[in-house]
Amino acid sequence: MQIKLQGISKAYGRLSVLKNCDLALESGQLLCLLGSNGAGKTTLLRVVSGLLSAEQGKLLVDGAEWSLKSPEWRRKCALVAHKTFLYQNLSGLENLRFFSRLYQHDLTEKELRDRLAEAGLARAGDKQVRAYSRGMQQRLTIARALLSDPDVLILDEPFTGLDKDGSAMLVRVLAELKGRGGMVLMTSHDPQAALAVTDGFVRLSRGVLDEVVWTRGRTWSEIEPNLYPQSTLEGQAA
Amino acid sequence: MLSWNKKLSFLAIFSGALILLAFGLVLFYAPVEQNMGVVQKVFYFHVAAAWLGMLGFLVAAVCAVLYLRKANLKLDAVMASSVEIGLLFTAIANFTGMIWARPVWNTWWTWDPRLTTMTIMAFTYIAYFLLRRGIDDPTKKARFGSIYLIIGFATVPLTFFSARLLRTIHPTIFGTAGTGDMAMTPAMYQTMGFSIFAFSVLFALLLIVRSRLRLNQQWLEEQEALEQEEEFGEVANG
Amino acid sequence: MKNWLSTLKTLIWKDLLQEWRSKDMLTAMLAFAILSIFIFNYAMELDPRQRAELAPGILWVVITFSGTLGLNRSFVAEQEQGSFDALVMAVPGLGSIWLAKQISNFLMMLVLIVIVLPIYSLLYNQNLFVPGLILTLILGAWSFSAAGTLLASMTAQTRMRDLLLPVLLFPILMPVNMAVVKAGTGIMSGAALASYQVWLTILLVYGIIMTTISLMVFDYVILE
Repeated sequence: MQIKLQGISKAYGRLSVLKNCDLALESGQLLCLLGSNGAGKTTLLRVVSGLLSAEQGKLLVDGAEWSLKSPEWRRKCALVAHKTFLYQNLSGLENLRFFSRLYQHDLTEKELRDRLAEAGLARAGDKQVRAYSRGMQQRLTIARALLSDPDVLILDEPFTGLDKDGSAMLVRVLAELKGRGGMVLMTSHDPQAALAVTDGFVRLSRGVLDEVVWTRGRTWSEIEPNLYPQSTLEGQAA
Repeated sequence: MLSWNKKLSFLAIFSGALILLAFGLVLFYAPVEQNMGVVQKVFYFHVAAAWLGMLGFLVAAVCAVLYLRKANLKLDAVMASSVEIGLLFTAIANFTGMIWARPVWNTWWTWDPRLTTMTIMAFTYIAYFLLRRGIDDPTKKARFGSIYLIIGFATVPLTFFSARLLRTIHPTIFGTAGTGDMAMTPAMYQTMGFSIFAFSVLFALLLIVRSRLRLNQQWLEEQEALEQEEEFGEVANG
Repeated sequence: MKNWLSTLKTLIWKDLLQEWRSKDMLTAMLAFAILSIFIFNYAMELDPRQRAELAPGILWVVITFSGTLGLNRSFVAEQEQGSFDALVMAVPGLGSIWLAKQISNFLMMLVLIVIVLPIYSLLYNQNLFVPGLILTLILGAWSFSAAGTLLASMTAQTRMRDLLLPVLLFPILMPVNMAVVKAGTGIMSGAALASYQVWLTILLVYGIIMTTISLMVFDYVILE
């Protein structure tokens, strides 16, 4: 599967947050969006997942035009964002069961427990989510997003709150998803954490998307100059 | 930025002249009513004000429906201004009504269906503004405001019907209210009609001026946001 | 169709389970309701016949105020954890999100009525278990939560939340208030059905209108 986003523009009155953004993703690919706070990363992710309407912009799925606002497109995506989307008074297992039913997937008890184990939450599965640590909630959020076997996984700074084990788990999960043919769009504050799993970086600054910098097995020191051409410190760019 | 222009001056002068003329008619042309005396003359402004109260709501409700179909912040400016002006004239209507009621019925308030409905409408108006106050994002403000207006508007007929039903079950001690009590001569009808016309022109003037003021405020806020983006390269909620 | 029903069931079950664990809504509602019933006693040292006529009105006041407290809590989970987004992405017909919330809130109101009615009857020595009154209260509860759920979904996203809901809700609810009290009084005073039937019709009409509008308009509440 291949998706192309063309000419995405979002403005609040005269204030342009996204200016004519183009993005393309293929099955098995992971792109990492970089950018400072307020550059428009979260806005772009929300537009892509269909939660926010853009003034302009087209979505092409394998050449055919789809509406970003259609329920069918939303169903194809899964979102992991700053907020956890979890129900605090339900247990981890119950949360997964709820979302699994909502996605019409109806996984069995055993399958749900397997998913919890994959996220490293096997023993905590029956405890209420309010008792989970931030890292545990983040893992559960990711497990929840994967319940629907999404074609497009969208993650907003997923490494936040994860310790070393959690980060390793996430990298493994993303690699598996890519292997199964899914595609991933994520943002990160820390490019080096994402280096292990991303196929390319793309910078968003002041609403404008730069060209993709493919990683292709290069090291960070090789990539960095391409990514930040003028200076490694943003503040000195003026 | 919108500023005052010749057309507005013309409208203002025209409106002012009409109101003065209406005053003149009320004081000198309309006969003094037999039963109630001079105080009855408040009635001409009372009805006009009540009419504007309803007109304000009607215009706002139409804008609300249009806004939901296609979001345009200009519609929001007109909507909010219309409600504001409608609220003002509803207050005037209630106040003039009380001035009239006291000498005639020896009471400040009755549960007359029209009065009850208009007062509940006023509460809805006020609630509308409180709702707007509680939201920072301009598009959300406009959207939620529109939804509330539509709900409020939909319940007005039922409220009026219920209030009227209430009265037929418990008739007031003070006799039936309304124009039926007064002996209306043709001159009185003419004065009433002219008064309503004059006030409608005033409504149009106030609506235009107030909407333009709101649009200017919007422009200023956008300007500040633009300048912030220039300086910091960051947008709130980016 | 089958999918739609199963989605509805899943959502309602989630709300009921959440409520069962936290008992947030019920605690808020019941504490207020029982306290109010006590307070009204001191305000109403009346003879039994007058009390009987006032009962539906007072009962309804208690139910609406308590209900508002409960409604305030109904979207807390979604708001704090951002679950609206997750639901929007999973559920194709967004109206079912509203309908599920409406049904759960309605069931909460029924629980409130089931608890308040016996307590009131006991403390005021009055038999309130009249079928007509119960039907009126049920219709009133549906209309109340229809309007309340829609408005709560909006106020949950504002700054003032809990304070704002009553202010928005009560003007809209006027026809329901009048209808419940008038029908209730008619029933309790043993009047003929024809004299208060129109009020029950009003309740029904209001419920239908509010449900229809909510289903049509809910998309605009949660989609930006």
